[in-house]
Amino acid sequence: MMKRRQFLTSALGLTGASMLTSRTGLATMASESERNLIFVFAQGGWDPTRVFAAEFNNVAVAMESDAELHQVGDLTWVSHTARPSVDAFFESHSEDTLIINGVQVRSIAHEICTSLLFTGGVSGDSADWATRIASETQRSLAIPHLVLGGPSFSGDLGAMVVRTGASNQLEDVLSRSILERSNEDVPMLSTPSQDVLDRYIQQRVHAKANQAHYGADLKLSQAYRTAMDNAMELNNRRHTMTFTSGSLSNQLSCAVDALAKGVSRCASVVYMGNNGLGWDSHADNDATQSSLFEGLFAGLNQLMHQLNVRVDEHGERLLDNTTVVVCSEMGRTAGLNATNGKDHWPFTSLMVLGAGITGNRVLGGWDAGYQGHRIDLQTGERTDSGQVLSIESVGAGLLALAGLDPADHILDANPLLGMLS
Amino acid sequence: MGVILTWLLATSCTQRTVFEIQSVQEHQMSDAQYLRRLSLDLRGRVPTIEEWARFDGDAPEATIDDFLLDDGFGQRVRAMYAPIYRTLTDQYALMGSDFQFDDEITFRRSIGEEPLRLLSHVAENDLPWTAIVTADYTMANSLLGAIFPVEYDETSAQQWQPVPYVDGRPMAGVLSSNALWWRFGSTNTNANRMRANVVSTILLCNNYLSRPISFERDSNLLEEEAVQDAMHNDPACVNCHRTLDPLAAHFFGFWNVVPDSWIELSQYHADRERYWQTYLEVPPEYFGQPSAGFTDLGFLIASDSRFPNCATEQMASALLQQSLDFSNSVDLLPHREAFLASGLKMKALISSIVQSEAYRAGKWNDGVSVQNKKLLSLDQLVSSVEALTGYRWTYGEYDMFDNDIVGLRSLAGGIDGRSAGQEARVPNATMILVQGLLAEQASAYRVQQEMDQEQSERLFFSYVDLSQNVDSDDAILTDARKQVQHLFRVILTQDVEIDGVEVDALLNLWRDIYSLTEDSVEAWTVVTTALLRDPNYLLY
Repeated sequence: MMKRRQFLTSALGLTGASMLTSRTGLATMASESERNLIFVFAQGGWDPTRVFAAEFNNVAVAMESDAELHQVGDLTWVSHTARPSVDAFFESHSEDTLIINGVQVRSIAHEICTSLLFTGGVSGDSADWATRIASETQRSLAIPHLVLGGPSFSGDLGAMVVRTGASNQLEDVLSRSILERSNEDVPMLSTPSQDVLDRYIQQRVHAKANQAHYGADLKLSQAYRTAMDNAMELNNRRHTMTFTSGSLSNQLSCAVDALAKGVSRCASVVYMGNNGLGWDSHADNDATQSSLFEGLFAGLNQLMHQLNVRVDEHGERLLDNTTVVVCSEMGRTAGLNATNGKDHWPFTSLMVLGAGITGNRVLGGWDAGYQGHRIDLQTGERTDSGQVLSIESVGAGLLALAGLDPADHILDANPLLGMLS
Repeated sequence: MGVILTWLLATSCTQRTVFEIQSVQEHQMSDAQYLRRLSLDLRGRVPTIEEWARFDGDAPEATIDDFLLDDGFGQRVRAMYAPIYRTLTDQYALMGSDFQFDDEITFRRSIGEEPLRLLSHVAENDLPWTAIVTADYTMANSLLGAIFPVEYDETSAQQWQPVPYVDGRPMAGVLSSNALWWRFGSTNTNANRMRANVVSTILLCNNYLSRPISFERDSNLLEEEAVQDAMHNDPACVNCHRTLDPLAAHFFGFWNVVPDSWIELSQYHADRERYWQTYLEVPPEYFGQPSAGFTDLGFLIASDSRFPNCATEQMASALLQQSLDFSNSVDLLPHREAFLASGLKMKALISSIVQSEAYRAGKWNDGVSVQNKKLLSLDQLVSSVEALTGYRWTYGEYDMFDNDIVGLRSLAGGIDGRSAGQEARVPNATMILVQGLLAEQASAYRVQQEMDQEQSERLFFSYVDLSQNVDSDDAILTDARKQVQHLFRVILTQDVEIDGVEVDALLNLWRDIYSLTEDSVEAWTVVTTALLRDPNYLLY
């Protein structure tokens, strides 16, 4: 039997003639792949030169004097004694790791870059990659896209998204302990009454959806039905799942649990460090970034372990059907500023782990001016005749990786197919 | 028989099917649905039965005028503009404690409302919309009056007052508000360009960042000199920067030298107005027109033809729950004309939009992207439930729906101004769960209140004794049917047959609960909750 990766490779090698049903020729993969995704967001703008951009030979880039280039196979990274978890991660998981360098994010404003990173657009109107992927799933999921932290953009696909809340409010809603947060002493319904009422409302919502025919009535009523069913399923799950947000470790454990139990296809988590201040190191860059990268990779080590040992409902190892995208909305300048910090930079790096990619590679790169090197999007190889790697191309590549046709989602989609092969 | 014959003749003569006839009839929504939509959109609550009885969908002007005078109108304006201004956030650089305030939530809420209050003040008082960028005052409550350099009248009963800043800043409506610049700061390298883009986006619907960007690879972004050169000479950069930078040059009076200093952030700095010489090297200019600086900016925006266009696009998009602009909708033209003809009065613009065919699209309207249903916003849900039941979910100083610290704003589909920048456009699971809890609490509260009232004084339960089993005898059952019919009218603005399936369904629900609990009060609470959770409540 052909393995999924082989299938993807062969699908990409097909001639255009066999792909005429799709604008990019990638729709053939949709029925094959129901890959899960976990998005890990380093909010605030990380400094690629402290892990991903091993620019030791670039005179324009201020590398740490005591950092070293480390390599396993074709994977290179910046090693530093203050970040042992980074070394441990790459040494253990290089085969499952793809680094993408020199990704252009077009802006140096956090909110704009975040919108671009998550959706490929600046308006925030469109659904993010995770939500789009989750919405295309063929499975029945209680929470297609579980947002445990960080931003999310749901566009018209809000029915697919569940947020746990900044202080874990979802858990309090499901347990109804949130009702204790009230200035009014109002009697609560008994549990049997709640159950009867929920079923009645579910029937009403289904009837409403069945009666809708046109326009927004149809769209909203159908979304309402999905949301209602998901809400009921969430209630059912409250005794077997804990929706814990907060620390990276907690978020990742919850994400893995949701994938393993078939509750979700996509999960999003955020990491802003133990103090919650994030990655925006305009001052004291090195200590800030070191500490954050160490914490991030400690979490990723845990995540890879969990994906390796946990299986999904069908007994398949999660690592074999889950892709992890680790990203930040922007990079940081090549040199230090007057306060030993670094300011915003419109090129960044991403890391893709797990299923669907060929690991042990670094795609893209940096030129002498610390801008993203041009690459061939088909192969991911650096070439002067190629294109600057945009965040939109990476997003389109992620959609393709999940089995979606990027052309259905992005105008002029130009996916980074090199990440798949 | 006569009706059937007429119907048969009509259908046979015109070859129309029953379906087509229904399509014509319901191409527009019913008067009841239209009134409900107007009431929720313009004042945030459902119409009363008396208002419904008076309403004529063919002559809605008087009702619209009444609703635009309602106390709830200002809040609706603020809510519709909150996603555009994004100032209602839990995060600001400064905290209440920086000003010796313990109440952080009121602090943040007050800051976030400053520009929004000016918008609602202009709309409510039917002032020309240009006042939002030319007014010589801002809006402040007592908290802002205490921490901002404004002339606030502590003796006035009016909590939010129009007040001038007294620190010498030029007044230009929302552009002069501290809150806008607390929310949208800047850095040495950004040099107010983001602020310029915020102004351009909010007031002109011209977002520079929506344009494609293509860097010349020869530009060395590491060299400040090379970057400056590119911005002035590289065609790809010049396209935006030749207008963006001179616009950014207007905002250096709000420049912050000491980060996070409450004095820095609260005061205007006239002495820094010319910092553009250092950071931008271009003087203030408004899209090619000369500008004397911040003093001119509001008037330049007010006289820009994009300003009324943008206001039209924003209000139409909010009221029709679609992303509309002049490039994709000719339907906006009559609204802009009405707006211009009125002297740029927001009420006239709103009145034009809510009388349009698109706004009144009915269930069977199959036009492209018709909004024959809309999703209630969190703001509308909370205010309408409060108006019906008297219940507002608060906890200590917190409103449970205006924050994400302890509250449920994001889970319920609201915006937080940052991570959740857009209101939910379709229902989601957490919204449903939270709506369920709110409905349950509000119903229980209302039932509790009405148990202490005479039957004739009650809004909800004017037909039944809440302690009685509805099946005790025929008379009580008849009253119960009237009661359910009445609840449909009060809560959903919907007429149902007294012995119809809707009433039967809710009475059966009542019986199911009663058989489980033997508690008639709980059974009626469930019936009320069911109506507040009905899909026809959230979709309107």
